[in-house]
Amino acid sequence: MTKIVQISDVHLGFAYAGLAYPRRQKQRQQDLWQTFLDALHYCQKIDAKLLLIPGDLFDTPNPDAALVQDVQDAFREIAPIKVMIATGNHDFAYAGSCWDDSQKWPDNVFIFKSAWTQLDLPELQLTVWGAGFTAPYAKTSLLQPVPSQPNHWQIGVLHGDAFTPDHSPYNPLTTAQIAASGLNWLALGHIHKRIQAQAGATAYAYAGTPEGHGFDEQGAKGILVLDFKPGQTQPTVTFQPLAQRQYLELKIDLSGLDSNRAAAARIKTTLAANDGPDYLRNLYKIHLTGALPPNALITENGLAAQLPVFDLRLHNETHLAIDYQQLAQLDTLTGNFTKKILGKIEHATDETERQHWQLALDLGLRAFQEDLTDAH
Amino acid sequence: MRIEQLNLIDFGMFHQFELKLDQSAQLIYGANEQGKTTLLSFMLLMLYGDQGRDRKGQLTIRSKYQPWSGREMAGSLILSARHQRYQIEKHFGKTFSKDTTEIINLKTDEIVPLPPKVEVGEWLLDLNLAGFLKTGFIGQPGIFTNGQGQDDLTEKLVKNLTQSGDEAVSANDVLARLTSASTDLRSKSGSKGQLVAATEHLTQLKLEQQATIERQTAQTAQVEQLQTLSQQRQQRDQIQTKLQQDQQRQQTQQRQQLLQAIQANEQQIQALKALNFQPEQVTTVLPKLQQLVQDAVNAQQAAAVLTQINGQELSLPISDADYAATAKLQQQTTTIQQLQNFFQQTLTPAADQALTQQATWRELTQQQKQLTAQLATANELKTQATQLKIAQQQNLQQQQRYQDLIDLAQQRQPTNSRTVKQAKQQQQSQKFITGAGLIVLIVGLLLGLTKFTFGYVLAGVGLLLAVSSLLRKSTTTSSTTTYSDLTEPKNALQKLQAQALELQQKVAALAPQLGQLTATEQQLQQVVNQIQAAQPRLATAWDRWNTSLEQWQTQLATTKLTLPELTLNTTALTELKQQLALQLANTQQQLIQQLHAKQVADFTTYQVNYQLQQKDQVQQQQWHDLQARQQTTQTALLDYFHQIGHPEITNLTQAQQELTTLNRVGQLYQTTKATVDSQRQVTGIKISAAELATSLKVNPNAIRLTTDQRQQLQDQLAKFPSDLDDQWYQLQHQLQGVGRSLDEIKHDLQEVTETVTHLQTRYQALTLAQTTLQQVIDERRKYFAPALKEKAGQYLATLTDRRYQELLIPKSFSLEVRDQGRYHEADYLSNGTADQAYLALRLAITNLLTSKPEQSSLPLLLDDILREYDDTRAANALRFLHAQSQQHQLIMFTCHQHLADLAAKNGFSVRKL
Repeated sequence: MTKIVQISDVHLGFAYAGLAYPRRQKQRQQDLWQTFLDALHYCQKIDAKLLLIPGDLFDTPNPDAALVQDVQDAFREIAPIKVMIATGNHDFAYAGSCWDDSQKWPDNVFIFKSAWTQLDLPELQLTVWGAGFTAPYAKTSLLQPVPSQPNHWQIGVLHGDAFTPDHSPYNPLTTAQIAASGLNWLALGHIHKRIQAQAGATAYAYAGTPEGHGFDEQGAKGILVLDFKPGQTQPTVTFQPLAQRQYLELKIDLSGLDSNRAAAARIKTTLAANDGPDYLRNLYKIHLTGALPPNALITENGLAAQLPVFDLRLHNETHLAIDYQQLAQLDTLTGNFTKKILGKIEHATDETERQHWQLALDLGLRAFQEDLTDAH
Repeated sequence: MRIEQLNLIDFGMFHQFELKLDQSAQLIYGANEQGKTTLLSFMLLMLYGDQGRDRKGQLTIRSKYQPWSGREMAGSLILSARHQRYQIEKHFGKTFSKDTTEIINLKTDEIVPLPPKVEVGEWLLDLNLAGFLKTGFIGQPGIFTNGQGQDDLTEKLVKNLTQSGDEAVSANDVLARLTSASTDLRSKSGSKGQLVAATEHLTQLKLEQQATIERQTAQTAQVEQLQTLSQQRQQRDQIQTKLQQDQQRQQTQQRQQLLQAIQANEQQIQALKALNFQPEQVTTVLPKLQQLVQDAVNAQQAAAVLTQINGQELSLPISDADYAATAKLQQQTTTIQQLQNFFQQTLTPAADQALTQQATWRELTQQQKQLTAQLATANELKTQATQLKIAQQQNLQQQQRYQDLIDLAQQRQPTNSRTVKQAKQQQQSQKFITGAGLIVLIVGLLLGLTKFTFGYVLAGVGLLLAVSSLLRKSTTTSSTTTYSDLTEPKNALQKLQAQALELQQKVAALAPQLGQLTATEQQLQQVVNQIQAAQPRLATAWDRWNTSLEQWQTQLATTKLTLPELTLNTTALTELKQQLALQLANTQQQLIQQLHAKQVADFTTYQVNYQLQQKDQVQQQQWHDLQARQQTTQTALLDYFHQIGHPEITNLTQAQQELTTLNRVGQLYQTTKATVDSQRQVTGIKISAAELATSLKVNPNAIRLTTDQRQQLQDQLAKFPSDLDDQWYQLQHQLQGVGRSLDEIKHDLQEVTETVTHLQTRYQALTLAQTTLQQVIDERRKYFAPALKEKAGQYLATLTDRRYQELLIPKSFSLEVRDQGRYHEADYLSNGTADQAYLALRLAITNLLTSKPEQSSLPLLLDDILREYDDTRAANALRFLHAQSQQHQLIMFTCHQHLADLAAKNGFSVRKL
């Protein structure tokens, strides 16, 4: 049984500039590096023979020299595990780039940095094929068919777009091409989401990024472990979570709550229930919903102060717990105001307009209660 | 709500003061400074503790009514509301937040909790302080107006009408909150609001995204260009490597050659040492040795030659005196022969030429003299001929004049006496001119005899003057008479014609002589021309002669010969020639005798014999000198060999053989050393032979290039751009430019887009809320306006006994009252009427706001509102107010006794302080 680990789109050097709490930026960079090291250690732990990295190991084509050296040292430490790297659109190879031979990559590292080529590993009964980006774009497919060999695995390592190949400038890979490749397994990078599929006799997968970079990369992130067993043409695939933190987005109903403390308590309870006791490590985007009492004093700043998660974005989508129809019956300023806006809501032409009027009603009635400056 | 009892424990001037109130209507009367305003303020502070902060020059109630006793401000109220009786107890701190309030339900004796941050008045009346001041509190008349035609209070009241009174905040505040919230999204505290900042951030991110896409597109081209450059660099480096290897090969070859040269040189050094000779001696000792050997050899050879010459015998012994005398004779002979040669070849032809030219000259000058003498008589003939010609011309002129006179006289008769007079004057002058002409003629003739032509010319002029004068005289005379008589002119004319004939005959007679004269003159002219031509030849001959003579004299002066003086005549020349021949013969004879004495044929033989004799003597001396020199040089040579360590050399032959050997080895040494030095200089290699040998082991397989291959590679190398590396590094730098990744920008874009959308939605919602609220306010204002107008009109009619029945509140909020069909601004009415109008309006507003069933009744605190009223109006007002007590508890204050009396009469309970 041959174990192979697939990790991709690490994007080492990613800046994490978009955090709600910018002071956490450096920590996220450390997280990313730690996840990368964890992946290498995991390779050693499971006695993997190969580590496949199908592109975007670095976030830029010109990573910091110290970072490159750290990566080289890390790879050197996991020898004899062979590291197969295909350059991606972020870290494409060019003359003088960090992928040059002169950059002293360890002997156990093989870099696919140009056209489709191969590395035979007869001791493992397999051949690793690959190609690399040499520019930010690769508008034609880099994948080439390989000859089939009995009792010999053909493995591809490639950075490319297998999901929108029609117009993608990132090494478009059609299903037909993959099916005709003759590969047993095609390790792909570029898509940050974990995806596994089959095209003809070729199984292929995106491991997704091992550490999320934003709220568009939510959930557990990690690596793929491939078990190539004798007699089988395709490996058994296992996902191994490794991310230090997760990006998570959810809605929490605060109905009936009238204070930041109560709201924070409900949020904590929800997060702990969903994500376990370590939820504080995560990065959350929370949509606050539900009907709040008219006298409720819940503010985003007040809530955030009581929720010490790693990073937090609150979207207040609550409304006041008011019987609008009853209020509209009163001949008061608020009653008349409510009545008028309910009419607008009733005659709204679309959901967006309706929501706008609903928010206008909530804000208007809230303005009768409190200053709106801090009441987001 | 109705207040039953006030208990001022410590408040201003009051301490433990208790006042029970009527539930309906009452008037509290007291003179000034009795505490009416204090009581009023106590009630306000009990209901609304937050009165704000002291402002400059204006104290709040809290500050103004600090207990005079210095105790803590405190008090209580007993009131009924919501069908309950409550006791409100308050201890006032320095600020509102320090107050302690306790509400006790007197029915249940339970303490009722007051919601946080809620005033007692708000809790009981559902009105905040502002709302109460606009409704339950009516101040003193006159405070309504600001004196500028506008009524702030009216405006506030009317605006408040748009609210039901159940809102804890005014509509303006709500609008302000909505406006502030939306404004904050655009601008906050001078900075960009959230929405503006987020929108700008979004724009920046989009720009950054676009720039990044463009950068990546550019990177694609840059990478391709970089690839091309890299290939070029690789090719260039390969060529450079080949050339470097070739250069190394050349260097290796040079090193090998150098090493060989060094080894050859070392062999010669060893050879030198074997000869007991040091390499450094080659340049110093060897040349000296060579010189010494050469000197010795030369001395030996010179001595050998002189030895051969020595021994020849001389045949003729010639003494110096003999030789001098003989040589002198030989010299004289030669000198005389030279003089003879000069005399014959130079001097004699010059003399002949000079004599010939001299004779020619003399002959020509003689001919010139003769012809000149012949021409001396001819001049007279010329003069005569000239005179005759002049006379002929004058005769003709006179003839013409007389002919003209005759013609003129025949035409007119002249009578002018003046003409006569002029004629006389002319006659006198003519006489003078005639005399002068004759004198000149004579002088000219005299001069002509002696001075040739000028004398004849002068004589001619004198003759011309005289003849002219005479002719004029005759003409004048005739002219003076022409007019009187034509006979005389005619006679004169005839006479002149005769004279002319005579002159013509004379001229004919002179013609042959004049012809002869002309021929002579021509001959003379030819002779003169010949003389002029002979003159240069004569001068040349003379110059030649003089030059030859000077040379002759110069040559002669160098000799001691005595010769006759030379002059230019044939005799002298002949004599000199003979003298020269004689002297030459004598001298030659003496010389021959001398030579015969030595038995030689000629002087040359004699001279040779003498010179041989002299040379032999010199050689004898030289031979002795060379013998000494040979000895000296050989000694020096052998000494030097001893000195340099070669004592075995004992003669010149050995020295020469040794030197030959040394020279051969020394030259080889120097040649090999020069080769080594040259190669070191050319190659720059300075390392030792051992190091060279070691280094040659390093590069055994260097590439060899032919010259053509080398040139071809160098040509290829030259074709690469000189800035190839710069271009490459520049592209590298561009590729490595700072910039975030597209994915990271997309992350940010997504986040910021969400934020912007959220804020835009909020902004739109706030705007909608504002607009809608404003619409509602406007609608409510429209709705309340007719009701207000009607109710205020009813109250005003009641207060004024229907004097005024209608009120109008225009948009300016300046209250207008209708009187006699027209509206007048209240300020233009009497103070009392204006106060009535405002009171009506105020109560109308209050009642409209509290007209709802669920609305609590208000305690109306009226602060001396009737003081401007006369008794009738005051009575009407009190009756009207008392009627209001059914709805509201009236607590009225005044300092006027008559109002207290009127109030009592109209159902008010009156309490005096």
